[in-house]
Amino acid sequence: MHPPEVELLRLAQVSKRYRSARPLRGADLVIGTGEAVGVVGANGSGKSTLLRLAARLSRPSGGAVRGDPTTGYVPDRFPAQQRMGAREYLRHAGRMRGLPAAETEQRAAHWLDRFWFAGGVDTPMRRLSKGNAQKVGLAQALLADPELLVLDEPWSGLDGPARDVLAEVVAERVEEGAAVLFTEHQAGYARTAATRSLRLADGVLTEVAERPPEVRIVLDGPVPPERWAQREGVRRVRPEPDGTELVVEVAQREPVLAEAIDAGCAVLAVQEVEEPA
Amino acid sequence: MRAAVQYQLAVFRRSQRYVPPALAYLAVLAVFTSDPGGGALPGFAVSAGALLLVAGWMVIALVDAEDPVQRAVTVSHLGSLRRLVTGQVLAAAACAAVAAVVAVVWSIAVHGAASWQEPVIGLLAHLACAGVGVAVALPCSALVVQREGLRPVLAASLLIAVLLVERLPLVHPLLRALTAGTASWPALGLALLAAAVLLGAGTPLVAAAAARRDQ
Repeated sequence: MHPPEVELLRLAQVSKRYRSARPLRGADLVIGTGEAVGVVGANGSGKSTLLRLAARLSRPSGGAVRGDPTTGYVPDRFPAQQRMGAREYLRHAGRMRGLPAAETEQRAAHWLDRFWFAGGVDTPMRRLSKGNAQKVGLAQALLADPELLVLDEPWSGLDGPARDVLAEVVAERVEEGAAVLFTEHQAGYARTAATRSLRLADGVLTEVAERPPEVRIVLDGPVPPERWAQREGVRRVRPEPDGTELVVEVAQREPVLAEAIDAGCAVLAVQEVEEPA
Repeated sequence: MRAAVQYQLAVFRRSQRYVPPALAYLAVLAVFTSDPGGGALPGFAVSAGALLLVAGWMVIALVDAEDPVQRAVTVSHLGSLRRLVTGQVLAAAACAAVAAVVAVVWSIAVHGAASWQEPVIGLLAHLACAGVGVAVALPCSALVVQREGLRPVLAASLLIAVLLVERLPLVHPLLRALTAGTASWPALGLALLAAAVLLGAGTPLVAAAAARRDQ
């Protein structure tokens, strides 16, 4: 069990103004220990700017950033032109964090193995695939067990196993009492990994209302749409050219499917509904 | 801080951006200070003056060796932009110090050493010029100046002004004394003091300017 939630970082009415844009206009955010905060938002909504402020890599034009936790940061593209290999780079990163050499080697190997890094530890990083470079990026951020992990679209470019590992790592960091702040395009994915989800739009952060996940089911059969519309757990019903589309709470997926099959309907499609960012 | 300097030197080495200034400096030593009849001190004036320019070139190239995203990650490791800039300054100064040693050893090889004072004066003169070069060029680096094409023009203009304008008595009195073949300890002291003050005050100022730049 992690200790009771303690405030690590507070962004109070922060704004950020560039010459031609104003991505943040008074955003408030408090991050405590044992929290994974997911921020969703459209491209260009200011998510990366928010994360740079939280990682203390940029200063706000207005408002204040309070708290100074040790921070591991992963940018949305990592890295552009680094000529070092992963092993050498992580060795330097460990030294800069004040870790002993042997411990750095051990930790670097642990994180690279865990994320299924397969690019060659001495291959210049600029020759690595996006996914392998991203794994080095995650390893450098996790190397010194920071109190706050700031991850900018960390799942982007990762392969399936590594995506699952990252979700596990986020959960572990939260369990150990650290905090994680990440951005993600897909609200559903953010909600899965986060203990709290926020949406950034028009320069302001708002809590994403809790809503059970949904599935889309397309049926073709004798049951009229009106009957489905009255059924518990069915959110929306829409006639389609080849049948009827239902949007159903995940918890009601199996009962609805069983009922449809009993009534003689053909199941044409079952898909997870992805909430737009 | 040692780790920050080692990292910057490793990035600089891997980038190979040190090669053009290093070759240019070796060319200056080969062409202008290889005449045994010229005397050690006038030779030091040429090689120390050239090192002022080369040290400025080095610090601009060293800062450029990391792209802005990578630099942000490095700042997250070091904990502050000031530590990053200090690491870059010390790394560039270390490279320039190696060049200073090479220049003095080169001089001894060509001219011999008339007294123990000559190589000491030579080394200190080179270190002073290198320090001033780094300090003057640092505000023209990618930390502060966003336009890539503007950085060398700005840095070269400032460095040449420091080198040639008599009214800027940073290293000019020292170089003039060396050209005349005299060892002026006050001029050397002034140059060393200028290097220390410019580096000591300039480094945090550049860090502050770099932090404000994205506002």
